[in-house]
Amino acid sequence: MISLLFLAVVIGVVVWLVAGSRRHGAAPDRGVHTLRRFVQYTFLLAALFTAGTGASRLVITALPGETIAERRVTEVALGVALTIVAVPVWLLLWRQVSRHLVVDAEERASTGWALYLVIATTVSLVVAFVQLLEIGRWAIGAQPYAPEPIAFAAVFLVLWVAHTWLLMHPQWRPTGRPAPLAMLAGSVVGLVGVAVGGGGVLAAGLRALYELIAGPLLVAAPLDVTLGTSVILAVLGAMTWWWHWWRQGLTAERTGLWHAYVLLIGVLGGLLTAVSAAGTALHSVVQWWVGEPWTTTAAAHFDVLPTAIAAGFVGAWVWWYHRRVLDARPSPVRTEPERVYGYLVSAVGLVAAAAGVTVAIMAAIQALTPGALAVFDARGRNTLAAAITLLVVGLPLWVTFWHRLQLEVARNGPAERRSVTRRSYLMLLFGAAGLTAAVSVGVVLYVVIRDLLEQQLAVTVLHDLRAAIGLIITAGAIATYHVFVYRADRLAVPAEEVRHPRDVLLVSSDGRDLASAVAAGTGARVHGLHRLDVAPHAIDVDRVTAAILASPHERVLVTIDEQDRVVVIPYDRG
Amino acid sequence: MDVRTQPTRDGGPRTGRPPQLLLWILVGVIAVGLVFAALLGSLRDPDQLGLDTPEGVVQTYLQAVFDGDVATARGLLSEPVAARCSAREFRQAWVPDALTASLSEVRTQDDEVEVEVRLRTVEGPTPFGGGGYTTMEVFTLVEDGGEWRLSADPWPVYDCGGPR
Repeated sequence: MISLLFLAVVIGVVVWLVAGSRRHGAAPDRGVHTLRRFVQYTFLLAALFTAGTGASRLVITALPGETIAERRVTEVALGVALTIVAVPVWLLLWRQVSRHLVVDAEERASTGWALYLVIATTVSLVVAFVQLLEIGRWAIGAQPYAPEPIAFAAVFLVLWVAHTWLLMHPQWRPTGRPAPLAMLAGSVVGLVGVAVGGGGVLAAGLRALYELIAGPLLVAAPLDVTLGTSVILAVLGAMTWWWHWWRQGLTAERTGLWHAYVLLIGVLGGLLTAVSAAGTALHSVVQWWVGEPWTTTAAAHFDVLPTAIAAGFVGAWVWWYHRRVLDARPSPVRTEPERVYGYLVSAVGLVAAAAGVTVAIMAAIQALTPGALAVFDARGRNTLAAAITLLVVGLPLWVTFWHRLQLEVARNGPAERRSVTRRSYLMLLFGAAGLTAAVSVGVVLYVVIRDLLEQQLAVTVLHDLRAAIGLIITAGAIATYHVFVYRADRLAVPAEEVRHPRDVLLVSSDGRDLASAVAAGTGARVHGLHRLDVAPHAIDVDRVTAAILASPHERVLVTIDEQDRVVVIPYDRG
Repeated sequence: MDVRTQPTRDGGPRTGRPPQLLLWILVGVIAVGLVFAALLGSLRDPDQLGLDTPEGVVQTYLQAVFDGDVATARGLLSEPVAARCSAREFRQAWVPDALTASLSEVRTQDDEVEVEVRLRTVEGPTPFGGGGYTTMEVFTLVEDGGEWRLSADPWPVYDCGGPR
């Protein structure tokens, strides 16, 4: 069943790739090349990892270990079988691939070659990283000896080194668009290692301090295993991060992928970690004063604080560092990942604040409804504590980010309003909030009409419907506000806006001056070429501009002859 | 096109690298955490309380349970409890690999003393050391022939011999 599914997926991908290349008007044999590459690189990857696993199994048999004889036999048989099959297959495929890479410059620029190296380096890095951590834990006595981590770490490190060499060698280096993914994926592994390991060290220190302050110790668990594991993780993470980010990523070309990594992993990941940690710490404080804590012992209740402080510090540092990376060399244009970041944080803040407001409304209705339970029970008080926390965390986040986004609209109106991210944000919020409000209205109507018909309608129905009423008010307000923003955007930039040329090749007797005038009039990039077969004469700039703006094509070649005839020819790069 | 026009903050050429001070802050704070953990970890050897106090008995009992020393642990139970809670029940009870116990409160009620203890498990490499959890356990003791003994089925065996 699974193999059939896999086959169906493979066929689907192949069809999609070939159809995709046809759609883009590629030469007929390009589809064949795409198919050839897909098959070749997929098999090359499969052969690589099979050979890696087989070789690791063989290394295990060579290492000392307390394994029983039967298992040794299995290891040897499996290792030999996998290696004997996979290594020749890999070598055969590599011979073909390397021949293509040497003779065909397009092969190095292909997505297939780039993705092969990205997957090979990332998978071998992750396997080696995890196994090295296991070796480290064995070294500090956290777990018993096993030969597997040593074998897998050694083999996959060799694979990682070999493929990293290919990734950097001038002759083999891929130039396709996904190539920087190897560096960025490595940076993610390193960053997570540093953050989790470093945060773990900090948390262990804070916890040791907390336990000394919190009360007399009766029995103390040794810290060395927790601390040791965190130190090993931090060191491995730091090495990985240094190689991928410090040496390569920081100075790499700032492409869309690069911005996506810095903003969505670094800035957003750090911010959400810090905010969640601050929320956890705040919640423990609010619950202690307002809610009903699970214990009356402060030392037990505030036990989350060392972890929250450590996570908060690490998250804030990751956020701060990546913000400074962007500030150190700002992008000349506002990138889409930057928008995604802004709108995501705004959405997280809004949802958190809305949840807080809804619960606060519910609490108010509960307190004000005559005949209903006027005094909060423990659960009610804890819900209120959660609401206060959500509101205190979410509201400043939403206000800050939404204000910044609206400033961006004021500064770069059309580009911001037209962006897919903003439009999706507004549509999704309006849709989700509107649907929630509509369903809540339905619930309220159903209950009220039912009680009315049964002649049982009383004020206490407000108490029963407090959640629906809270949702109607909050979701209704969110939907209304965002539909107004959406309408304002549409009025400012009509959806049916005519598409104008963005690239203009202007061939005239008055090359340079006319080009700058036309560029100012059309907003397009205009490249002026001086025509030698026509005598210089006065050209009506407005007529040329109007002719260009009348064309719905993205790229146009414009010629102006001695009779001032303007010919607009749409073109595309082959 | 939304081209940005603001000048760079310092007006100078951009290196593309954030200040190294940022890295040193991270390294410094983690190093302080490490030193704290190492120093406090070695300093926090609990004082050994005497067996003439209820909390001293609980301390010795917990240490024996953590070490798997069932005989010592059972030796601190009162006779009826020891009769109910066999060595097998102790061996079958689940005890986390590493635990820290702190004294929370000692309450006296008539001839019984309740010792409330905060137990915290220490977990492996979970993010920010957050894998552990805390529970509160109450140990009830009575004086029996001049010695304090645990008089109710204690953690981690609780309900010895099943429901009564």
